Amino acid sequence: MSAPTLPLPPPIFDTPVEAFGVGVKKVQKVIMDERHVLMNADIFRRVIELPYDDPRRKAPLEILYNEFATNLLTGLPVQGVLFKPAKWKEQVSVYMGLPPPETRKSVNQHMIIKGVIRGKVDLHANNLLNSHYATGGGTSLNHNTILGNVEVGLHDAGVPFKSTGSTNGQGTKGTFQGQLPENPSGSSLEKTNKIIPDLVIRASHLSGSNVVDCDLDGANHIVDFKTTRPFTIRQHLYYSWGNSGEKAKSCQQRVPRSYKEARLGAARHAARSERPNRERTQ
Amino acid sequence: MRLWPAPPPKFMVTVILVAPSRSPHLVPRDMLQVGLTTKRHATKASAYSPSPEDRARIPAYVKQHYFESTDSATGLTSRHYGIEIGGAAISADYMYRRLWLREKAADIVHKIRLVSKGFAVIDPQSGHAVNNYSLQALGEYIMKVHPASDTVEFASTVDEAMREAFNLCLGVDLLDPAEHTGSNAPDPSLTHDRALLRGCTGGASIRPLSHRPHFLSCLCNCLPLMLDSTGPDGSKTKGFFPNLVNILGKNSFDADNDSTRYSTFLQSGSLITSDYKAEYFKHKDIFEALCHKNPPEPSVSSDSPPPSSHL
Repeated sequence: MSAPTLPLPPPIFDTPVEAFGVGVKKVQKVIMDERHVLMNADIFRRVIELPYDDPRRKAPLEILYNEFATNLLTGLPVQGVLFKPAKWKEQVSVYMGLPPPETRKSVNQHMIIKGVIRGKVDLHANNLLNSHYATGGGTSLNHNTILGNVEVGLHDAGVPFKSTGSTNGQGTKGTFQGQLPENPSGSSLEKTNKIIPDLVIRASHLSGSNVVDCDLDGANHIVDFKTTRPFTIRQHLYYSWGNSGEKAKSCQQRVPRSYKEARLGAARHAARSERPNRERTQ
Repeated sequence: MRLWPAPPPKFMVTVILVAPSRSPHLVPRDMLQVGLTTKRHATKASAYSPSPEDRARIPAYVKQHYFESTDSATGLTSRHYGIEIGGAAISADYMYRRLWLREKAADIVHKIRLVSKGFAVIDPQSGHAVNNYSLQALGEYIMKVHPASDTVEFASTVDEAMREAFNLCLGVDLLDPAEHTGSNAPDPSLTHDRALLRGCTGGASIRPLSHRPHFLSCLCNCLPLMLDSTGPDGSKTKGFFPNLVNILGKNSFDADNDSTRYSTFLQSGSLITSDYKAEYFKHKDIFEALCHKNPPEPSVSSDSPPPSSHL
């Protein structure tokens, strides 16, 4: 039986000036607490009204439920998470959705990644963070975050799975690479990596789990996450937001083609590597 | 007779004389009689009276604190007398209180700059924490114990120094929308307002002294302690200053009179009364303006914030 919830007290300023603060131990705290709830709501309303590609919108929303991130400016420095001066200032700007100080110096300069020009640096460093060619960019961050969330969900539900994130050889990479031809070179390797799924869900033993029938029950599934770049082009965002799933669908339609190409590449490579052996044995 | 075991504690001895007709009490001699000494802090013994005649009767070894000011029009220098008690400037002379607060603000600003610059060079992250939890609180006590109308300049000076300190450690002026948001950007003051928002839990943010209801809170806590009062269970509490009964009203703070406890006080016409009213309505207006902008209907959007989130 849950405890009865007490009704909230009326706002402190409901009392007239002649009786202000009667029975309140910490008047200042009550005033500020009530004000902060309203200020919080006000800021949130204004953040939601900003355009989708405004970094000031993105910054608070993406850390809304992250207690660690939201305490960046209010928490005390801890030994485990210390920022160097430049990194701290960079982090503050990202937290508030402002242009990072380091990229302010390099706006409109070319991004040269592995010797090739890959666009220009913009004020908010979106191009830099979202570049396909730089490791740790926004796209892979999105991808890994979603994968991590699904893994946590599966783990909590007790559903066995294999993930590409496993580093002990028990993940999907270890399983699938064993089936592929050894030492494929160059672009072939890149293509075969595309075949390796992010997740294998073993749900063949499940039926009617969670009381209701689930589409995933009764079979094993291979899952690959396709992630778009975060918050780059306004039209793209409006498009994907207004027509939820459209962008994901177009990504999904491209998947079979990619798999087919990769499979063909792997098969050709296997055929090439087997031919000389056969000739030699003859 | 000794009130404390030897060695005697090192007390700052302060005397206040507010009754013009009485002769000054020679407190240092009395203190010696009860085992206290003023030798170490002989210069701390001080006295004040608003009347020049009474001040003339104060012995020479008792300090009378004053500030000097020069009239720019006439070039005449005048002295403004007062006394500091418990960290508050007490004087009937407005100029004394103003100059005392100016001096205090300069001290605090010096300390803020010294500490924040030192930290900003070594570790801005720690510097920010020090700004939040230590330096920001330096002016709070003074804001509490002085009439709100006296501390406007003080608050603005300290706020300005705190803003510099925050800028130094954060690397950006969060309170200046023009610096980081172009004029074409929608809602340019969003970052400014977000920086001013203190989280509901877990700490501070940039909170200007002028935004905080220190004085109002202090009055609500202190005024009921001045007079004798009777609690709801009939228990009696002795007041600290029963001679304020004419200003605060007899039995005003009895439990039966909760709904009218400040009625007599509000009609007294004193400086503190007008400041109390002004502060009450100032903070009420802030609250109502926020209520007006955010009507309390529950949001149906899936983007509703969690109740304890601090953006």
